[in-house]
Amino acid sequence: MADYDVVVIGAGSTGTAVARDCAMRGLRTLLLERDDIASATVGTCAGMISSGLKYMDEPEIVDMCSDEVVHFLRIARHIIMKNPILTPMLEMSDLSSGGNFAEEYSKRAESRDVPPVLFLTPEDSREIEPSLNPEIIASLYFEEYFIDPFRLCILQALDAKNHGADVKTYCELVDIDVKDGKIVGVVYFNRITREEKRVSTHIVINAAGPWASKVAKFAEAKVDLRLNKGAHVILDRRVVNVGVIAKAVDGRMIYLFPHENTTLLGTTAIDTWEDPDTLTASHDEIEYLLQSMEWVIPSIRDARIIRTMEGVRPLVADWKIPEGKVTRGYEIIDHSSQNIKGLISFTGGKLVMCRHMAEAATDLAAEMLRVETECKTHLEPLPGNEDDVDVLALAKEFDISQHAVERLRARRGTETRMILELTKDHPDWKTTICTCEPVIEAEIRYSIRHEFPQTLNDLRRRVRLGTGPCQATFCTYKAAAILADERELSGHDFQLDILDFLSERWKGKRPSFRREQIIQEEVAQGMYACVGNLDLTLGSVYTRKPWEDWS
Amino acid sequence: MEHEYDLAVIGGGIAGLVAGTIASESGLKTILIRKGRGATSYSSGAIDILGNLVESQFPLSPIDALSTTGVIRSTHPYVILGISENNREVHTELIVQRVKDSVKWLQRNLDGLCAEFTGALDQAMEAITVLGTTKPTCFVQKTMDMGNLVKDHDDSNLLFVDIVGHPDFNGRLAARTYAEFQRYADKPVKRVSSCSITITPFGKPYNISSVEVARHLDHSGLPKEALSELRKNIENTGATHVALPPVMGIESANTVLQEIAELGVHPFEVLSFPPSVPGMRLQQSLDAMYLESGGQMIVGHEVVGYDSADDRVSRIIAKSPHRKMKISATSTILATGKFIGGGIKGTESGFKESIFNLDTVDLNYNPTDDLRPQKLTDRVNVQYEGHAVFSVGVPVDRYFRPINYDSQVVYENVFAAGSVLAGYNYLVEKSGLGVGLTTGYTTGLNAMKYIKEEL
Repeated sequence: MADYDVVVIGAGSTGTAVARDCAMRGLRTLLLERDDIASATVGTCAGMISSGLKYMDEPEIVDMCSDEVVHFLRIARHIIMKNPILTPMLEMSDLSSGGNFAEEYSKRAESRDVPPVLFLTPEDSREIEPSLNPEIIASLYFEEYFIDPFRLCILQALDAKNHGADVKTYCELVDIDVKDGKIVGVVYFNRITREEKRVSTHIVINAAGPWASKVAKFAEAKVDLRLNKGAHVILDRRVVNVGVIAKAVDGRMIYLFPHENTTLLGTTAIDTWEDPDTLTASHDEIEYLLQSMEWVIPSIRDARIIRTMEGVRPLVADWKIPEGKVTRGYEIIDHSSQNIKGLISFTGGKLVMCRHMAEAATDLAAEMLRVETECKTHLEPLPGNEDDVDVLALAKEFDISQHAVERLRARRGTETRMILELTKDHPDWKTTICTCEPVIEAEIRYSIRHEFPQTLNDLRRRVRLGTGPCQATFCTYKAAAILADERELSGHDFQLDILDFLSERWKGKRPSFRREQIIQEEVAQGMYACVGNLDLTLGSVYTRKPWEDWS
Repeated sequence: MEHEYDLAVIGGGIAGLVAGTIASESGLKTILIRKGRGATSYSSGAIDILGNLVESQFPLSPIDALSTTGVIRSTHPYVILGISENNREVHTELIVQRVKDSVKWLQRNLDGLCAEFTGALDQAMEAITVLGTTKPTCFVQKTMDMGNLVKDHDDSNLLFVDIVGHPDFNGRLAARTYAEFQRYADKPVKRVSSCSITITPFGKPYNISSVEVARHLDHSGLPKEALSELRKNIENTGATHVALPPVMGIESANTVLQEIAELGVHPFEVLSFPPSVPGMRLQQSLDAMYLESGGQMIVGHEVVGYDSADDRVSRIIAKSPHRKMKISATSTILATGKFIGGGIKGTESGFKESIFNLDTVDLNYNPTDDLRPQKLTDRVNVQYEGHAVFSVGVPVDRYFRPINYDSQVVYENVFAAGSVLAGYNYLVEKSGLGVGLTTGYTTGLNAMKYIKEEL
């Protein structure tokens, strides 16, 4: 008997959803991720589980998106927030295109528990969002749901684990064994233990996103992708009351979405052939976004930019059309057509479709394995969504600020109480470690013990450590000490963890480095270089990250 | 309202306060205007002179580093100190002399105040930090004096102590880091251990801030329970030295440490990150020194404008939320700091000095007026050479008067001191307060000469 029925490659939104689905259907599943959960494409998205508004010419996709939103509200409402959105219009021609959208959106609104699209006067629009340009002639009002993309992936992975799957992060696929045109196993390299391991499997599901072609190549199969990069600019707080969608300098649509404690301005869309690990936002992308949004929010440049993020979309390989015209549907490739049996790959898709994609791929895998199964991923709650949480009562019971408890709830749902219970034996774990977010010590310890983070950056994905205005200036060394304490790391590793996180934050801070962030960085350099002396002590042992390499 | 002074100092960190004191103690009518508390209050408790010469492959004593700087660099503020009146050439011995003079002067002035400091220019000091790393510096506050820890490392036994629920210092990790460093540096391994004590300013053992602990100790002294926890741990470990979090009181740290010393150990505080209690001590001591000299100070005021005529600044306008003041002064010292202090601003279109809109330059005096800040950064966040952006500031002549891109003095009666100056990167060379002190001292003297028409 093979070690596994299915090996899933890539722990992004799709890969974790596939692993969950396979495990829930009783398939023996291994999820391999070369970095951390949600460390690539999905970790750079805005978290919108879109009702499909951008794809009005693909009605079947709009239907699917709308249904998936309903499913997410059922399984993961604790990590979902609803954002009202305004689309201000500056010209008469904008009005006509809005009509079609309003009709399509409103048809499906009721099932998602949102009102139909409203047309607002400039006065009403500005009452909702005073920073709008007074010269707008009208705006569209509608509502969309946003999910915490990191928590979604982590929860899907944890739920897969709960259902018996093996989840291995920092394990990179290095080969696929094929025998007589059939998948028989995979080889992976554990980047932490530096060991290679071979396991047998019947099926490999390739959910490697931008790396899907590379993964397929190990089996001498082929996946065509159109890679397209996109940048976000992140502002230090919720600078708008509601989301704002506007036409960019080139006629594309861009958005400004309040997101957690920040605001996201995005995105750009540029075809890319570069190594996804090395990408950072460019000055052109930042200016493109700022100038475009400036037309509807004239004060946008006064906002404090804390960082940028750059991600890569693994689009379906439709060429010779603009990025916006490429289908946002997904494709599932059964490589049997290329004479490789047991290999399934994805291209395309959107965050909102990840569960649907997983269902389709798992159906196919089950068919290949000749087992009868039923998908339940749209019915069973993800961990933490089992019940309501009374934030005010918990804040009072544990003597922790309501704000901190509410932020904890937004990540944890019913786990909130479990985490707070830890402070009964360790009252000092109520201490706030990341003050921007905020994050208390108990949650960091809980995450280290139960959510397999290896680095501070992994902790960021799990608890939003260091995502606020100070960009980890003040929490890095405190959290590093906790990680080192829990894992019994050496002082040397404690320092390397600090450098590692500073380096990852700097990746996003540097492209938009200006104004207040220069002050912030002077403080950070004052701490870690000038006083902490890490510039002198670790220079020789620090290995440059892909984006730091000059070559 | 119109006010008349001999000297106006803009900025209240170490550079401004030292310059103001020099002028005021020699009888000049001096006013110091500042926005907030002064970036000096964020400093670690050490006074760096020149901890690391980036061009040198091995550590040098501060004196040697200063001398070497004089030979290899031309735009460093220390080098400008060494320009001789007579032949306008740089003399390294002059640099060292001026640094010595200003250090000696400050040491005398802070004597008996809470930021009293110790150290020597001819010897680098490896001070232990909150991370457990060591950092090359020159002077530290008396409460941070490590005693004979380093000298007698054969039999010293160091106990790191932290406070439960105080996240700014983790004694266990600091101990681990320090012990490894000792082994790595091939020094005889000292015995190193750690423990926690309880100090709860508000009766709760969590979210304890450094400043709260310090104020609590000032107010009520070291709690008996904390002292007995300490005694127990010292007995258990046989500690000879105790490394404490840098929070042992703002006013009363010396007293608190004395009490701990009576347990038969040598206690000292480690270097602090901001928010920094030792930094507050230094700021408070410098404020006291300046006020003692007879200078006037207005806080919470920002300089928002100025009048100039005949290449001189004749008047500056300071504003608070409630009032506007016009201050006429014969000479003005610009000690507004770099980015933290607000002296230099960097936007996507380039860098400018904030008050007089002066030209700005980088380490080697190349113009930065239209450089996007990102261009002066490195891809690697923490590394040996640092980021060029933090050497951006105003270029000056040999009297520390700001000059423009044509090397012309902008205003003959304006002098610049401290980190608003270009030509050095204090973060990597570890020279922040040293440059602040010495350029403050020198511009104070230069402004005096100007006022007495001797310049």
